[in-house]
Amino acid sequence: MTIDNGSASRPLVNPLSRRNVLKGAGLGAALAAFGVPLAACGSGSGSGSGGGAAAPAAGKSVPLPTYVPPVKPKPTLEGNGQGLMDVYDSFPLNGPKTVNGPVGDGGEFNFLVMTYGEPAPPLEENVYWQLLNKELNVKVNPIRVPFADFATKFPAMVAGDDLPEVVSIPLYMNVARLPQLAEAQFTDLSDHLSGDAVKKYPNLAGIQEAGWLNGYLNGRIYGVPKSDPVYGAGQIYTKTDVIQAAGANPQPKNLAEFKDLAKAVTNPKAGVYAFGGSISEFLQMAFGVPNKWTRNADGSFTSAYEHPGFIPAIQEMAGMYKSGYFHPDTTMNANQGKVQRDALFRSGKIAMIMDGTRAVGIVADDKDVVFGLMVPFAKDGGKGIYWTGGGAYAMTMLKKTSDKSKIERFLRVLDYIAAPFGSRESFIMSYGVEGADYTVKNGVAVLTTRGQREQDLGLAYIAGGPQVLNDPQGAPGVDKLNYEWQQQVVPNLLANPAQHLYSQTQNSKGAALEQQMQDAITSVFLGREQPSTLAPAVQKWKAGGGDRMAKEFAEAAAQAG
Amino acid sequence: MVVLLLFTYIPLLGSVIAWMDYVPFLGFTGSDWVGWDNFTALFQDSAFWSAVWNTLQITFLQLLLFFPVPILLAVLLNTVAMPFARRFVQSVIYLPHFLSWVVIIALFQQIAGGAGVINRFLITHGASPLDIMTNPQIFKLLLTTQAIWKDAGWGTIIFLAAIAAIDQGLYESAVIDGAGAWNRFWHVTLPGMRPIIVLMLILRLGDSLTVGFEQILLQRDAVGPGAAEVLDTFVYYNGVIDGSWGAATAAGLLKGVVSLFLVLAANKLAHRLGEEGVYRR
Repeated sequence: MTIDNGSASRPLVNPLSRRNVLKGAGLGAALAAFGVPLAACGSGSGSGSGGGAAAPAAGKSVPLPTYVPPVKPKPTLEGNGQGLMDVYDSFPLNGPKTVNGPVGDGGEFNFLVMTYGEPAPPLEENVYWQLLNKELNVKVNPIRVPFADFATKFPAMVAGDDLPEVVSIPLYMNVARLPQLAEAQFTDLSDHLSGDAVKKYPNLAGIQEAGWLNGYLNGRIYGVPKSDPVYGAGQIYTKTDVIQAAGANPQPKNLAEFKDLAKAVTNPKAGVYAFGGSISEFLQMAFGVPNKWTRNADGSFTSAYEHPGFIPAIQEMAGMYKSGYFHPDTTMNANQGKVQRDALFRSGKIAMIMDGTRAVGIVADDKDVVFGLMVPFAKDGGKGIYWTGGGAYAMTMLKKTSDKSKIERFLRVLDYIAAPFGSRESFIMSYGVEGADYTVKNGVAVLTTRGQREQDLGLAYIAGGPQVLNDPQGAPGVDKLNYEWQQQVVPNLLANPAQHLYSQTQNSKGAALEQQMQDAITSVFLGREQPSTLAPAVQKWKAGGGDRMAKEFAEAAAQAG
Repeated sequence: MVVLLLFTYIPLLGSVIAWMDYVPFLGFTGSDWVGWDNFTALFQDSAFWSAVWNTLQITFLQLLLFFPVPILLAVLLNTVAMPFARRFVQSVIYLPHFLSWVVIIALFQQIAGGAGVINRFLITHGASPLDIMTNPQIFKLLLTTQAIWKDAGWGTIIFLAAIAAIDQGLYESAVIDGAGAWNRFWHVTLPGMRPIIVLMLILRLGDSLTVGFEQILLQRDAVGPGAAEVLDTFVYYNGVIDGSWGAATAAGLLKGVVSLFLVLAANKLAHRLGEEGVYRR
């Protein structure tokens, strides 16, 4: 596949040395690969963004886009600025228009996006797609890379110079050398977005700073984010009916109760097990392990791997594996399987799964599944900490061009896509054509099967401000359940101080180093190695680059102030 | 010739990135030259040597266990007299070749996995389950078994053709001379197939270090890198995912050089034994 790269097919890299390009850059995004080995997907755990202002090299450092809170309808349950999300019972039918004037120019809008489900039906049969083409006044043409292929396909597309005009990169996929990639191949959007300039695109102005930081590189703005809820770590979904049938308590208050629960639900003869994949993050949080890094009083950085709780947490998990609380397919589910694992959860063969916050909607899709969310606890009782994420799910960028009209068209299209919940545009994006894609029952829009299928163009993944909880078609009460869980968790959120800092070592070696650590953790978890091998593994990680990362983060943090 | 030049030899020049810190979007001119750094880093990495050792073990096992299977199958198939039955069996044994590794590994998992048919039976009858899919000790045998199941049937095609090319007159003469089934096989079929067998062996050696990236990647976590890291997965985890194309190419290049030596050695041996090998001397 060769797509027109415009003027950018041979990147004109400004005569900077790579070192300069990298210094204190932003966008370090997603290079840490702090994935969970056995249940990485969806937990949104991989990031470790770079960001922050730094030595101006490419151009003058610019301020982030000014935040103008969007006008929102009154929520059923009100959220807050700390990350508690607004809950709505249904989508308002006649929302205000937020985009005025023409959007596109009738030309093609080719964009690369990672998708999860079945591709939407072709344009001729897809009235939703036709409607969006008309609304956006472009030919929407998604170039889909399935979730399972992204890690292998994307580097190949970069190497082969096959990227389309617009590229949306899910940050948790830890794309290698993203900052250099952005500098070399994508358009600097600073002049159009920095400070008050963003007000020309009101919906983009409704995206908060935490999102923009992910595309803020070297003091310049390279990407438009799709904001993410703050919940960055895995959370435990409990199959309440199975747990209650076993006479156990789905909300343990400490580690001992948690283990009692695991023991009570496990019944190999019936093929029922407590867990189906790693719960490493959850246990680490219970043991008080910080979110990837700690910034000490003297400004130095210490890795979470060196926290006294890290090794005991893994050891605890290994002990539970040895006790037989994990489904025998746990190891294989690593690759083949989130789908398989989720199916086992639905059918009650696995009582608890750890997954990211986005999985709530997926689980709730099946109305018959009775489930709950476990509130994180500290190992000896009391509130447990909970790690936040990088603030954005994806970053969408435009291939390098100096054509002002191209840049403005790109931003207008994204402005439409980023329309906030409650607006007319957001309604169209979520529901499509009345009669075909949705019907109105008692004043509530309900997606038809056709509507659900036609939507998967990937547009929803590429730009947007804060998300809300609104799942009128999911399992009853799911939004309230999630809201209540968030209420418990929000006071104990813990951020990664290195989240938006840049480290050259992490950028070039982070993924391989992280893989080494994850291999070591998995080996101990599955009982192939003794827990005592973890300490040397951490030392190896430090010597191989961990120490340099700590130093570089400390420097970047000092520079950022 | 032009096509060969364009698509085979010119891309080979790309190997220079083994001596660079190559960044695709900066191109050849924008990337830094790093001399032998990529190679020294590789040689100093114990994980690399472990990957080499695993690769060689798997190569050897597959050669020993996998290579003879299609030959035997072809000979057996050749003895099936009814054309219908023969074609039916052929179709059935070709089929697995067209399944992807994901499907095949899922099948193995369903049968031999911790929650598979065998172990469910054992658990429900009070016996302790067998650890087949996640046992690092037998992982290489498991890989070979999977490879045989998938590709042995497909591998028979060329050998069947070789058998078909044997002069039927030789069999008739052999029968007249009083040769039984075994003697016909040993003195007619096998010698008739020998040039093809040797040729296939040499070709196989050429890419024998490519022991199955997808197959191994899918099962790597189940047994750990100690048993399952091979050159290809090593390159993936240490080069591709970090965008360290230089280091990845260095490892790939080394693999190519070793393969070349394997082919040359096998060819030399073939010539010594009086066979043609891949080319006539």
